[in-house]
Amino acid sequence: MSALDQDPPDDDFDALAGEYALGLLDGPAAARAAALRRRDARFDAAVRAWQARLMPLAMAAEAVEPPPAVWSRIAAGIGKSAPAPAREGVRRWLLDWRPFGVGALCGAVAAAVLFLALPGRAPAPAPAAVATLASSTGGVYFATAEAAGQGTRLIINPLNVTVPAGKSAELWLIVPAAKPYPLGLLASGHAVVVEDATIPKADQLGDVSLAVSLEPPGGAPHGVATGPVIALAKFSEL
Amino acid sequence: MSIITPLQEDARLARAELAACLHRVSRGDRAALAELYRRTSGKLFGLCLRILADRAEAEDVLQEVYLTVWNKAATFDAGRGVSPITWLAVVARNRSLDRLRRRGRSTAALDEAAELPDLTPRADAALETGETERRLAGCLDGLDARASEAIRAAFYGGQTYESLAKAAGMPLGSMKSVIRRGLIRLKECLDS
Repeated sequence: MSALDQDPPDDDFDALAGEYALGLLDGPAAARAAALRRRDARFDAAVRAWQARLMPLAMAAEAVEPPPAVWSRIAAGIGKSAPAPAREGVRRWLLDWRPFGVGALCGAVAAAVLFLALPGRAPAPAPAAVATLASSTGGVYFATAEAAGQGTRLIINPLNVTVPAGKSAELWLIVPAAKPYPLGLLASGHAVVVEDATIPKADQLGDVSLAVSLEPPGGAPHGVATGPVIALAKFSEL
Repeated sequence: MSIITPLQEDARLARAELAACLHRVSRGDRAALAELYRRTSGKLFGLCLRILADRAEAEDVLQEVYLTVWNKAATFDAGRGVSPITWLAVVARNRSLDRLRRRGRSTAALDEAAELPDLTPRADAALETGETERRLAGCLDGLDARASEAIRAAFYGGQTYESLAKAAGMPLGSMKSVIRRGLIRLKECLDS
């Protein structure tokens, strides 16, 4: 009987990283692994290594061309709001572009090599979390959370959302064992950026949810939700 | 310029191109997102469809994936050795599994997920297909069949230890033991 026939010990780093990357763990075990990943760069690297090892399974699914409507919806979604954080003064997307145009090539190899080799580029915002808030009145709010200084920045992008006339959509932060906390009103036609000291750190949003409720114009009186909750979603860490 | 470019060189260039594309997306370049979509949406849509087995839902999720990419491209870090397509595939898989769980059908599709994937080699080097797929399939097939089936079911079906044990009628501890051994063997096989 070889060593490989033995059970790996419970604290086997690579087995745990594989279990986590595959999503085999649930409940407290998954939460513990997620916490370990945040504080231990070696474990994070082990998880990434498993993601790379398993990637061929993703690629094994046969390619299927999505219908054109999907791109149209994406283009509409990104057209309504600026990506965040905006780093360029000139909005490239004001230029004419076509999704399948011949000129839309990314493959400037020199630029690619420059990018890969450039050590001094600005550090990327800390990897964070997303929540997809599908509204019961139609449309979706896409929420992303990223580290911003000592705090957290939420960016809420609406897509095809409709809010009944005479109502405002209000965003709520839901932290376990705390009262829902009002984060302000959402727009239907453009992204809203929220920074509030109450929002937990971007890498600690695993148990945190966002909700959207319908409130009187101007928002919930006295910071207490009065209207129906039209969307509710937990953050997923990226 | 050589007439025959080694495949590995193609893959390396294609990977650098996708990384450059993601970098431009992170700077708000819509044309770059369109190009990224043109090059990768077929594969990612295939993955979403495989997981969700529902066209309308897969379309919704694909849309979420590229909007997530639009907002989060800056968190892709080529310096950490993650390939762009792996990063995209992880986003697409996670979004699809989230949708699957919301649907409450996470215990379905065990048999379907355990089917062998289509291993036909593909031409696009950017998607790093062919050799790596065959290698993984070979290593998976070398495992205890229960482990390889469970790994595929977890990957495509979002199965957890608990749902896998239940579906197979095995005690939870035995299922864990089979899969953990399988994972260690799989790593050794792939890294050798």
